[in-house]
Amino acid sequence: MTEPPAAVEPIRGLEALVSEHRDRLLRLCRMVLADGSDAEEVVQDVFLKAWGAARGSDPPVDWARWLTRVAVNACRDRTRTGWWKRFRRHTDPLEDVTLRALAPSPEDTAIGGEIRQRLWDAFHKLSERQREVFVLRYVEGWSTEEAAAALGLTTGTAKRHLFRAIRHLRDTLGDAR
Amino acid sequence: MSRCLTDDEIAAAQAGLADRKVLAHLAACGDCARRHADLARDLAAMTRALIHTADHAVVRRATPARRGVTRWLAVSGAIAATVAAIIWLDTVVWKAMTPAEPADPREITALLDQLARTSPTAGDVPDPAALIREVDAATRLDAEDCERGIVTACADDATRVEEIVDAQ
Repeated sequence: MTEPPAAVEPIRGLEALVSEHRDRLLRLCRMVLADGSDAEEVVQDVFLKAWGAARGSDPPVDWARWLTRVAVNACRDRTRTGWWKRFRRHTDPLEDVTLRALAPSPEDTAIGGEIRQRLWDAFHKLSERQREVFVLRYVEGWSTEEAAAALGLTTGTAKRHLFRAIRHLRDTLGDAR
Repeated sequence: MSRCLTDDEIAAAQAGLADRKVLAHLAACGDCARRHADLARDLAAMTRALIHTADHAVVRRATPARRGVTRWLAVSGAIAATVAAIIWLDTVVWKAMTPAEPADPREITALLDQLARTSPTAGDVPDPAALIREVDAATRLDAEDCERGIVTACADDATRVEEIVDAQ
């Protein structure tokens, strides 16, 4: 659990939040949105909301979960609005830019690059809800009940989304092997 | 449950959708328990792969050539939609508002004949000269009445007479 930002030093508190959670939220948003630029903007919006929440009368106690929940909901809002803005930006003449360059990890060798790409593509063929539930359950390590509550779903609905996601990814991995 | 679980039942169990019979079978059947564990391991590997891909994500942008094609398609679509709207307005709305003309000249002739039968004849129209004489006489009488002070607002009456003549 992250300590809430001190009210007397909100800027330092926000910096601490950004430092601790930015990469995790960025990854989460990239997985849900499949768009690096959108993910960056959503994460910035999330930290702006965190800034407002930290200065409010009732700041969140568990910042990690609060940020995750706000980020997932912000991703959903993002996919439902601003289609024209995305269309314009997607037609801007920019070259591909790698956001992070790390040495090959053990996971790289366990699942090859081609299979990883197929998994990534298959993951983004899942419905928005299926991706959200999967990310909260397996990437963030939440229980299905916690994920359902954060997404405003019943537990049974969240489990059905999770089942379809698992089946689709399992079939993709089986075909790829 | 004696038979082994299907792949979907294993996946459902992984998602927390398994009922008591499936859970009991998983506890009793070594093969199904192993398949369940294999799926859990695969999911963990897939999650790590997805995280890895997300962490190494690239900002995918359109190339200039693709941008040109995309914008060209958008502009073409807009133009096509505009032309379609104009055609629709012309064929549906404008023609619906404009009365249709008789196509056959014989219909026009028949219509004119009918109008001629229902119109007043020349004998029914009052003779303009007689009408003017009648009005002049009335005007003279009114002028005399005005001079004698019998009638007031003489100018208005004269004007009214003119209006009556104009109307006729």
